[in-house]
Amino acid sequence: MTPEGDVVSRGQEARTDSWWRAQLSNLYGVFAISMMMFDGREAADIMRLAATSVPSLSGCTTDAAYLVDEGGAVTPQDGAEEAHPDLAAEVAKLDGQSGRIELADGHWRWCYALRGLRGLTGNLVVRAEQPPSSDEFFLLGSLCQQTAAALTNSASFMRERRQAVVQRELNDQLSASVERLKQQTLVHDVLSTISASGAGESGIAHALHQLTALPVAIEDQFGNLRAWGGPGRPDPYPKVGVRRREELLRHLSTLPEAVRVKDRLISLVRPRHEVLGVLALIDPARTAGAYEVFALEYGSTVLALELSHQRSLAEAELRLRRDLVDDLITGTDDESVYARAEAIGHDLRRPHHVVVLRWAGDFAEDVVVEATGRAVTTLGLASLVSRHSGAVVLLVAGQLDGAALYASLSEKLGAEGAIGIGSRCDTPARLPKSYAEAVRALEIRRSSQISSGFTRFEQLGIYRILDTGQNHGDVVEFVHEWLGKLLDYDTRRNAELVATLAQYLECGGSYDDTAAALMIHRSTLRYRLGRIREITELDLNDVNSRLNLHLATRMWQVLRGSQ
Amino acid sequence: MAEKDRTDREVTLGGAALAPGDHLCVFHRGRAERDRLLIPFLTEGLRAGDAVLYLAAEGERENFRERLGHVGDLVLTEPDSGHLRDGEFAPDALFAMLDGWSRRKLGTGDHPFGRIVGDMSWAAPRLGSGLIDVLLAEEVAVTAWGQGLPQVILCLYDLDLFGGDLIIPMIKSHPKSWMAGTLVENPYYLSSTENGHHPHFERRIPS
Repeated sequence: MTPEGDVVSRGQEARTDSWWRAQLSNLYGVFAISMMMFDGREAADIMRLAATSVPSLSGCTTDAAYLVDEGGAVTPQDGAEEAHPDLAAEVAKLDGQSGRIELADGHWRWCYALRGLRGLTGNLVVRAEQPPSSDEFFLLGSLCQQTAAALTNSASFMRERRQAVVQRELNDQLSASVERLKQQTLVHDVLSTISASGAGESGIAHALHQLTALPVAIEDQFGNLRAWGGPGRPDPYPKVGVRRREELLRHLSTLPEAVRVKDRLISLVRPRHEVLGVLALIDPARTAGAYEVFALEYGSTVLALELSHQRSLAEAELRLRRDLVDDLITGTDDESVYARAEAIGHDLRRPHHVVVLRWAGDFAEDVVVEATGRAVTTLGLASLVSRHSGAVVLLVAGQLDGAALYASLSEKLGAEGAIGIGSRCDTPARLPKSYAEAVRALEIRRSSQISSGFTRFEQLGIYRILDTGQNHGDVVEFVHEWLGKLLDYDTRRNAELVATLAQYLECGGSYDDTAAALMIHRSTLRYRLGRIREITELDLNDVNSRLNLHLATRMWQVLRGSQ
Repeated sequence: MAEKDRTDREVTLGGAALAPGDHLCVFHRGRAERDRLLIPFLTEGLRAGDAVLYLAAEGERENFRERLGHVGDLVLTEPDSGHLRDGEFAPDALFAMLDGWSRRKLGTGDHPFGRIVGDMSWAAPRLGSGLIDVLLAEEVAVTAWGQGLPQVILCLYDLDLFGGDLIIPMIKSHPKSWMAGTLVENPYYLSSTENGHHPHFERRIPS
């Protein structure tokens, strides 16, 4: 649309050289302004250049300028608020087209719709007392065309810049992700390699220190240090109380990730539901970030595998040992048991004793088994440990000091226990018999007056024949029949007549030997033997009486539990 | 002083060669862009032994003295000590200063060439149609005056401070302009003969 009829036409006679020069110069000005509009400035600045150029190109001034964004929103520019109050509505009525605007104040106004490739980008309203000349109108039109193009270009530029910002943010995120993945891959590679190398816990601690530059501690569930990586290992290693340790582990087990506890970052080593230990980064300066936490948590995973593996091996070996012991005491082929024993590092060709033990109290079998294992290790005994029929079964190679074994176990478990020791076995084939002997010796010990202690089967002597286990009551009755009066007397008087009689019979009736063994005077012995005769009303020189009394004292000794 | 031929010395602005007698209108956006053009231009002249006159923006004289390294014949002024009198533009004083400087530096043979730069930022807060007309007449007169001298003159206009109402008249009145990173020539610039409606400027042109 053009302002036909409005503009003032100039005749050819007015177009002198000077006029042409001025017109070219004005066009050059429009060109220069256009160059500036395209120098990357924002839309408002482009519009400001256009609005302020109007008076330089014509007798008009800028009445108001409006920017229209890609969504159609109109933004009045500086100065628009001073324009006629009806102007904005009149501009809107033009619906994106250029055209004349008539308001009550009588000024001539023209609205330039600034249209570009993507549609309307703005409106520029010029005003004058009189309509401009066609030459001025041409210059203003040229200015507005350049402005519209510049606004379109600016919108594209801004859109590209926004896209570039988004792209840059995405690239930054991608770069961060790649960097994080690189770090995680490094952690994965290093720890996996260490795990596969068999370097164990100390290797994992060292590798984690290399990855994080922080000292590393691996503790068992009780707080004992198992491995340390890096400098500054405390000596002695500090240990908290049992209750605090249990509270800490309980708290940690409720959390899914590593947590900070004072100057440490801690991760539980917990395959499935069982806590095997704790992996900690020592970080008093609190420098650890996401990377270090990842390394710690992956380290705890690798460590969990390592410890689980170790435990599985131990359990497998324990199972193999138990199976072998079970087979040996129930009887199996010699050749196969040699091979199986060798596989778990035990020399079965040495002489063995079977030991069976039971301990009173609230000890779980595992505790007794573990204590037994530590005891035989302490005593330097090569052995195989198992459990059978509620008792701990021990196959010990070589000489066995029963007293030392009992003392060691008593130290760990208390004195309320009994040990039965079978006779020596030179071949595995004899082990079932030795086991039965050990069980027998254990039962006799447990049923004796002093039920705690150890009993060797060989020490039972004739008692082995007399007390088969099924006739224990008869044995007790026999002892009471022959020694009952003396036992009652000893109890009442706190005397030792039964012990004196037993020693006298063991010494074959020799006064001197008996007195020496009992470390008493002959006259004392004579007195005691006299009392024995009176109480029992028996003749000690009678062969039958003497045999029965000797058997009874032997049984009494076994039943009493003395060795 | 009437030497108008090109010298064999290199006079460049932003890599573009200038000729003796050139009077450029330099449009820039912000001081950083200005300094990227101006510092090499002034340094080039000082090192070549040119006399340099820089009418700096308010408060920038010492800063430029530091940056230019105290070498060569450098005269630095600020608006209050030159072309402003009581805060108002004093074109006669400006002309007197320019002409006096040229006569002293170039007329005595001490310097073969001169470089004059004026930062026009001082005009932004005072701008109105009256001042624009005065500036336009001044620029036209300076163009006419400088054409006969072995020197180049740059007038610096910050596009962040000035709008089209000043830019277009300045472009129309300068034979050469620096804009958007390039040197453009305007063969249709308004010379003194086309500006007879500013009767006072011609008398400022030194004889």
